[in-house]
Amino acid sequence: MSIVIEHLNYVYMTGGPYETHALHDVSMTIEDGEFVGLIGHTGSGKSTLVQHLNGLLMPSSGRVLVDGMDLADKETDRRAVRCKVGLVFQYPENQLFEETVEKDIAFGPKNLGLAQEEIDRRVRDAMRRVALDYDSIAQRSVFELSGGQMRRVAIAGVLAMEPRVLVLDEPCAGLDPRGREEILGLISDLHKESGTTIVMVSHSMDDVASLAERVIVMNKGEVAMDGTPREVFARGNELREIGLDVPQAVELAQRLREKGFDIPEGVYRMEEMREVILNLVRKGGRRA
Amino acid sequence: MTKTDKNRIMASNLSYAYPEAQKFAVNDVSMCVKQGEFLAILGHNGSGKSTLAKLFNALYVPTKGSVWVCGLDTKEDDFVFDIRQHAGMVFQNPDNQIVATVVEEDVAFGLENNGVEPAQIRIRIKEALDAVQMGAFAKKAPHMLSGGQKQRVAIAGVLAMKPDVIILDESTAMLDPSGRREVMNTVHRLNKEEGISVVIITHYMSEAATADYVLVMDEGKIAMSGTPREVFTKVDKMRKLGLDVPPMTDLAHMLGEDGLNVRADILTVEEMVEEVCRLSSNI
Repeated sequence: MSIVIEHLNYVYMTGGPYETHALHDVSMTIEDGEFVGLIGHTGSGKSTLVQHLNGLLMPSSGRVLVDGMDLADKETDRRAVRCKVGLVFQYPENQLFEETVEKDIAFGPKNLGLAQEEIDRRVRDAMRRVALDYDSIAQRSVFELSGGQMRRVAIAGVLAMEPRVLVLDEPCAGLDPRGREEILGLISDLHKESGTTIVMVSHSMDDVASLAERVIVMNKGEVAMDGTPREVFARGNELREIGLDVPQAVELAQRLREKGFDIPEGVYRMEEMREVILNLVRKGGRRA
Repeated sequence: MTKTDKNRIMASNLSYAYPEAQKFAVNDVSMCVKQGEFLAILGHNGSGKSTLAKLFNALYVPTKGSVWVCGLDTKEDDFVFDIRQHAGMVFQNPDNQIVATVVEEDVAFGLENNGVEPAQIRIRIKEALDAVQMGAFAKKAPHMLSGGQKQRVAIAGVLAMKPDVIILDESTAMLDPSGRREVMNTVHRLNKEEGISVVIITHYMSEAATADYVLVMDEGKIAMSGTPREVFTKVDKMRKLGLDVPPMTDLAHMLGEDGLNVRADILTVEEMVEEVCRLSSNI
């Protein structure tokens, strides 16, 4: 199932004093099973873009096709689309509201009118995927949990809808390093095990570098770059010009090149730099 | 009760338990923040670091032990307002700490409550907003600002009180990288130029790496302390405490495991570049 975006424009508060053109002629196709990292500084349009992926926002012009269905078409069953494309907002734990973990996760499937057995199966499955133990946690109040656990409950609530595409807006914001690692690990597992398409909005270049297969950079409401992490992070200077960081491995590679070292183009992961430096030192490879 | 030594904050055998909690959230901590010092407190969620910060300006009162802020014991009710003037706190969520509808009125809030003269208030607002480089936004509505700008307004509100210490409790956690840089540059400048002591509670190791001194909390106790270099070098111990180390320190650690004779206390990209130069010319 692919998502096709064609010449998408979006304007906030049209005609008002604060009218903002948030997206300009954005076109892209997100293929089934991809892991896309979406980056851009605040105000670049990335959150506006992801809200178009399941019809929370409707294009001012252009169109969005999810699995061939045009979201703006009145005939399209938007509810069906929202089952296919699950959206995890920033700080999703702020939206938890039920008495127990189980009830909160079951809320979506229940509203679909599914049989109780199916709801139970989905809740258990979703909890397993986010590594929350059903027996010890399902009946607890969500508000007794740690921040990282609450966030996992919120993600489980979206997973219980069994979406084909999971869109996550800054899923690690505000978590401590352990919590961050847990969330990134479960996203990576979802992608690998069930082939779920992932679109992850992130400010952390290092997180994107370690997980994404494709990186899309937004700037001023337009797609500034779109390619593999290797291609995008090789354009370090351009990234810096539009106010973004580069992964530390890229920065190190660049500084070493400036010192005359022969560093292969396109290196962007720390593991690669480890190999590169080992080889350099062993060969004494300066200005080779 | 006098402003005795140069310790802005001093904690002695400090413990705190939340009402009805079985365990101490902060357990027998002794430490100090010196005049002009920039201190970072690290620790995973639930390690007690935010509780410690709230004990620093009398939001919580010690269960056992004591905290003195500029020589004032936080257990004394009479000192509460003085203590909060000496030690100002900036919280995590920029949207939860702005109270007024105009930036300058927000900065004025604390001053008005303290009965400062209107003419003096105007001077202090201008100074405080200029110090965080938000002077041009004095008449703007806070909700039109970015997260980083809002946090700088919150810092200005604290600054206007002329504090000796500013405590930032994960104040950059909800900001994007440029907002984070704005806030960190601002507090570093205030620390250097105005000599204000700074305490930052953070999950970002890169922020802690810029501090003079680092405390690592675990289970309510101080698990590690030292300069950033001393603390981050202990990569395995940091990991065990659920924390990261800066990426370059991690790389140095990996290269060490590969058998290279790399300095273990590398924190920055520049230092790694120097080290690679040194290693490759030795051969």
